Amino acid sequence: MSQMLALVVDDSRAMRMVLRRIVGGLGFDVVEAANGQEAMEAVEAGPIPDIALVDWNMPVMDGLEFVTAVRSRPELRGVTLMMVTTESEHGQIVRALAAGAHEYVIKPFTPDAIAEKLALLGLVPAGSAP
Amino acid sequence: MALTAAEFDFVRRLVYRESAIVLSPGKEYLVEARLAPLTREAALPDVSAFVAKLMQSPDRTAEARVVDALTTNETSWYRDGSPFEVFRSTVLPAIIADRPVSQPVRIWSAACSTGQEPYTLSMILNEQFAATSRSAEILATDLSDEALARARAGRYSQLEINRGLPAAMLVKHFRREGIEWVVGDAIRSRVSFRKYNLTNPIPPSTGFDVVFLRNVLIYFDAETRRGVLRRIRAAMRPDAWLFLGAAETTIGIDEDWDRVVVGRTSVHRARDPLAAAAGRRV
Amino acid sequence: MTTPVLPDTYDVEQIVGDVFGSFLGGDEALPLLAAPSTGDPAVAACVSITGGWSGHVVFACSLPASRTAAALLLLTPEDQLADADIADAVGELANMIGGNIKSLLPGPSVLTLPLVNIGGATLHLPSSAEAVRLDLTWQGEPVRVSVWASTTDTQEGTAR
Repeated sequence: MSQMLALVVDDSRAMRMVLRRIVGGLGFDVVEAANGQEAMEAVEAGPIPDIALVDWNMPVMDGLEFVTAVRSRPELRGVTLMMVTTESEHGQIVRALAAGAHEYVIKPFTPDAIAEKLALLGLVPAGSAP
Repeated sequence: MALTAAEFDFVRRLVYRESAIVLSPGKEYLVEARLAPLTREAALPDVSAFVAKLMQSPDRTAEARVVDALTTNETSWYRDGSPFEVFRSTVLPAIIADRPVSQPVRIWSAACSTGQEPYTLSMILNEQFAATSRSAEILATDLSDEALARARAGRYSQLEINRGLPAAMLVKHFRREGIEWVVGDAIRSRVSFRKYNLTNPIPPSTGFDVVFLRNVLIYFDAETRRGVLRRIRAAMRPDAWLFLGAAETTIGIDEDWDRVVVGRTSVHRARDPLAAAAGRRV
Repeated sequence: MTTPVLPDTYDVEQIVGDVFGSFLGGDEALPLLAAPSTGDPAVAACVSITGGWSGHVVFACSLPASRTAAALLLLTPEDQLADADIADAVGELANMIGGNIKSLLPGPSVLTLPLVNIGGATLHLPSSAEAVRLDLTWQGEPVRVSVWASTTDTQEGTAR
């Protein structure tokens, strides 16, 4: 089986590094984008990622707009979308899920939290450790 | 100063006496790490000084907190995933298949720690029973007063909420209060909490349909494991199901169980539950 | 006039502790400890909140602390860090702390991207007053988190 591909979308290079280490440690290939527009370009250029880990507050195109854009494209149905953001009000999580995000991780997080969410989504076996 | 052999031995004996949990040699680091907060609170320079003081002047409250600190483990929602999926897809349908709607399903979460396991079960029951008038009762027990108090409060930090709780369940069943998330009444009302030591010969209740006893047996010695498993058999209905941790088994400990493998999960069923309930060996 | 809603100091402490515990060394690192207030730290990152509550959250620390944090987050030796790396790391810490503080305050509101100053230029936060300040020591270096509430009652427009 070929390796799965994760797209990490965050305007902070430090946060992209943190996430790259975690999902890379879980066996994913990783590509990065610094905002929603870059992420859309990466998805269009291919290969299509299995999962995108998406920050909310970013310049140019924010994470909610990116999630909405991906969900409007039938050919991107297979992309699992997980918000990873400091936005933590109940209402914000509801908004992200309504826009089409499959899962939601609140910053700050531990590596186990990312692994457990990926297990819920069926992308890694339960009990995987980064 | 590092913990002396005598101090480690004192802690080891205390924990064994109160919880039957075995701290093997080499776990000195665990004692140092887990007792550091109590040491800071007592304004003592190091864990060695903290234990030395406890040895000199016995203090029941401090002893209970030491046992708590060494026996409470970090936990997550939907921990290990597949047992909950097997519970939802296989075990629950089997239980309710030939049972009047009026009879509640009874579940025992036998080492509930800070409450994630019983509340996860309650969330699953909420989904499964949404369109029926079926009901369920979850008894959640733990040895630790501190863990039980937190479980009862049903308040979780953001870091705890991040641990394996599906976002859809979070927004449906929790509300935000300050920096914490509080579990809703619909989920909470199905769960009752009680302090219980698994080495107690009298089970906390009987007639359970399902028992969750995950990642507990590994801490006990062989004899304690056998006793715990026998008592659990006695507390179960004849057709009941037992979930153990992924690394745990009844094999070689108590042979009166059958294993049913569903996907990647093993579920255990008492082979001769009536005999077990009557207290006889088969 | 209504009393302005302010975040609780204890809650801010928990948030800062969670951020440091998750990303900057966890249990093995030296703990964050309360410290006497010193002069304004040399590095400051500010995120602003506007909407149901308006104000700013500032994460500030010494230059050595900012370099240590950036090195830990980026897995890069300190002597290879550019100013942009430090600004990025400190900005993300402000973003995480600020976003969590926003969730404690009346909403809905939005969080701005972080604005970072390196080298001691004073941050100008016009029409706002410091409401919460935490002075801490991390790895022997000063760290400060402060919350500034807007003094102009923009959201309700009540006359003063």
